[in-house]
Amino acid sequence: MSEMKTPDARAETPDPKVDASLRLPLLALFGGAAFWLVTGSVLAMIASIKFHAPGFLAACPWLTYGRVQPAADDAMLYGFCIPAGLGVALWLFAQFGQAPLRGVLVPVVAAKLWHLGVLVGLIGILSGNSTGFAWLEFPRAGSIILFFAYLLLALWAMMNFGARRERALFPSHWFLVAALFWFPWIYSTASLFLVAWPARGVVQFAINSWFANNLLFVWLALVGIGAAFYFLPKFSGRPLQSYYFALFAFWMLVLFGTWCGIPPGAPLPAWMPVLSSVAATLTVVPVLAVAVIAWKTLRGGSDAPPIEYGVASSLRLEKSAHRADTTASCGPKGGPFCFIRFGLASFVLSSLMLIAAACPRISRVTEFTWFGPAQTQLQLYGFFAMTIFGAIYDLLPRVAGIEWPFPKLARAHFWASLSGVMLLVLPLAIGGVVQGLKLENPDVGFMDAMKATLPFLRVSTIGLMLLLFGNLLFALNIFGLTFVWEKALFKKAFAAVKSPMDAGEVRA
Amino acid sequence: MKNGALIFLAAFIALGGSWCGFVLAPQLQLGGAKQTTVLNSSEVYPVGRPGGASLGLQAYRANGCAACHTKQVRQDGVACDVILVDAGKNRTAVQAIAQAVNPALPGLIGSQQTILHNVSKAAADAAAGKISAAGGKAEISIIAIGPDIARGWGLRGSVAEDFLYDNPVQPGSLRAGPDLADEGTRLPDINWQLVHLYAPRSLMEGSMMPPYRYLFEVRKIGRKPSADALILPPELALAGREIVPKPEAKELAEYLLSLHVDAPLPNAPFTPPAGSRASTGGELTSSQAGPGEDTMLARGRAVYGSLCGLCHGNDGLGKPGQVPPLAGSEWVNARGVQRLARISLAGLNGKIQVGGKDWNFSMAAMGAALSDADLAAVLSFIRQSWGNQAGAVTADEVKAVRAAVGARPQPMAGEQLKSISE
Repeated sequence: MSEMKTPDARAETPDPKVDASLRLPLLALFGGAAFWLVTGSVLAMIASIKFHAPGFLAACPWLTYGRVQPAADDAMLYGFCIPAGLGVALWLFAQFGQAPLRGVLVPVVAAKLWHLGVLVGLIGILSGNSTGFAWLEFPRAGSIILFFAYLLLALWAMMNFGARRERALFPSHWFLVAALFWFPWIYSTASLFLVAWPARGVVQFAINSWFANNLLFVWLALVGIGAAFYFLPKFSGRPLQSYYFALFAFWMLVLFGTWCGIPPGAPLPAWMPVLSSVAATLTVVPVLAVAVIAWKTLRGGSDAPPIEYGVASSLRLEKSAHRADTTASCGPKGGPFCFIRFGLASFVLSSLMLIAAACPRISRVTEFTWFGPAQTQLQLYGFFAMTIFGAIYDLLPRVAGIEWPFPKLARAHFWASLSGVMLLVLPLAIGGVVQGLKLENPDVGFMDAMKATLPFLRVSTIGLMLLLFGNLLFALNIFGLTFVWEKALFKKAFAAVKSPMDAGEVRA
Repeated sequence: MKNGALIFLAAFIALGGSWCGFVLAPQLQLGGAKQTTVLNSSEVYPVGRPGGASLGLQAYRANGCAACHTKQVRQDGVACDVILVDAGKNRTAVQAIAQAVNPALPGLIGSQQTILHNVSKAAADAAAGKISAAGGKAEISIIAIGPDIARGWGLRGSVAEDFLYDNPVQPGSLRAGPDLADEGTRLPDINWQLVHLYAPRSLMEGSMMPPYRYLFEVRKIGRKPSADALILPPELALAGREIVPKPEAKELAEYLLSLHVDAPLPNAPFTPPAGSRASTGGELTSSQAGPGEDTMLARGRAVYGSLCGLCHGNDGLGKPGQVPPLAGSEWVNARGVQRLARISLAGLNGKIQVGGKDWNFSMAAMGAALSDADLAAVLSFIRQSWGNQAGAVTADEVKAVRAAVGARPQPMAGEQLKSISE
């Protein structure tokens, strides 16, 4: 384990080629992700408005609730979370290893292919060709495109990992490498045994639950925590507390988290839900471990041996120190650090909600209620998206070599998202418990139980509205930055054509 | 890096463990699952859905019904009911014992009366023993219990067998709308289902279900009205036009009608009401009722338990604020059966006054689900149970009302019903 403390001498000065090599793939991944993020929010708004007026857009089969709702969820997960997470993972690998990405064209094409797959999948759902499996609704054509796009991206990330010049391994590496491998495994299993050669009867239910948990909880946790374990020490200026604790959290997550997901009341042989409940209880360990790591790192000072990132990392830290507006010192103002901290807090909270809902007693109340969607939204948006926003706000200006065109909007994005997540998740969670308690009492009519949830659902629409607003601000910054970069590129090319002799003087 | 490779390898083994647990193992245990046999019967379960209904599953998938509806009835356990089958010769003694066992019973008990509801096996055995000692005859039936079952969403909890032939399996995870596992038993009227799809709020006030108008066509009525046209509540009817379901809507409704969880299975045992759909494995139409009055009441109790009791409750008290009671109801106890038979044959929609209270209630038509004999049996049962003491109903009476209301009757509200003579 000592190898990580002796950074490779070659990597002492950060290689500008590393960031430059990632420019095109990351712009392609994040640009599409920002587009789907906004699309997903719009679809989620449409779905939510139907709880104010069920007749809203009801005449249009493409926008019926049962299609719009899964389309919104999938646009968020497959459109934003996965490609944005992959982009951050690609950057982290290159950053840790100090090796420029080679053959940049392939990940660029793969990123475009991924977003094409999402488009095909969403059209599939909205036109009534959903597979009918939760979180795997994309019809076959969409899934196949997604799968191969993912393989290409993961292959390139792994090749970059293999070619790293700085040999040290950081905790983030464990999380990210495991995530890279895990997705094709679960996605191919689910696609093959649910869609291509469907298993019989409730075996489908077991596979679907396993897949959804491993994608939504495990994969997102691996990527999100992997990224947070890089940015947390970087922003706070304190070493991660500690290497062994992080490794422990990783192991416990992989061992126990993967077995969650079968609901306690599922019509399956009893051993499956029981095993899943036990695993969920044990998942408290990695979740608390992550909480303790974050807490200790932010507070600083501990007896455990801290992680020393490579010299290259500390150099970067110094270099970025002068960019006070977007990095370390921006704490209370809504910069990237705030996103990451909010993301980690949401991770702990959403995981505890997941664990609570797997406990048979609590599940009696929360199962089949809005508590479930509340937990999922906190996981998807509060934890993962917020962590990734923080990462993107920090890394993209460096990769593109351009500052954010609207830094104030980036901070407004934080506050909009923060209040949006709270106004979305809290009412749904409370409304879910109210609904569950009413459904438990057969003397309360179903309509009365349903009507009791409506005020909560209606408040959550405000939350979605704020999220949509925040997402628009994010997209504006991403597209603005891409535009500025492209304009500079055109200027350079134009200048080169016009006066080849002076081209070198034109600064992008 | 040696360490690194080892750790990665171990991590993949750890990840793969869950694959073996929740993909491979279920496939090995259940992948070859076959039909099972219904408890105390030679029937197999489940049987495949008829053509239209199995196409309807695809409409259910395409329109994302599972986003709001579950198909999972949850069960807490089992308990016992004690039913008086025959009071025997010494009625007063049996009556005294029954009332000692359950002081809440009405003053005069008849046969087919539920003496004890939802008690332990020991308590049920003791009560049945006392009654048989007094010369009466009591039966103990096993019932599934839990809030979902008390709501009338099924006679037992959902089990793996219920999903054997579904592809895709869509158990749902949110109850923004009611559970549909037993929809076909609860609301066995295709017109009710279709009108509900077309305009949910015309049948369920305050419903948040979107109207699925795109599954229907508005047509000009030709020389002859279409046989499939919806029988709409008057406020929705369009002059000179009819609403005809597209094939998708019809299949979806047929699918909903094919949803039942009412077969007792080895791993989900309960005593099905004798002669019900569950115990014959077929439709309720094959009446086994003979001429004897007690046989007829037994049949009536069976039909009631598997159909009417889901909403009106086994105690006939309905559900406060939702479903009006049958016990003591002036509509049930009326001298003639014209109105009562019309309600059961054609359904009910709108305001009705029962027991001095106003109800706003939509009940599906049961005419298509029940034969004249079964309907007569169940009407006789409700008119003579829970303290009701009206006369029995004959199959001929039901037949006459059925002929009078026609093949495509319109559900009425209380005021309209009053225009019909008793």
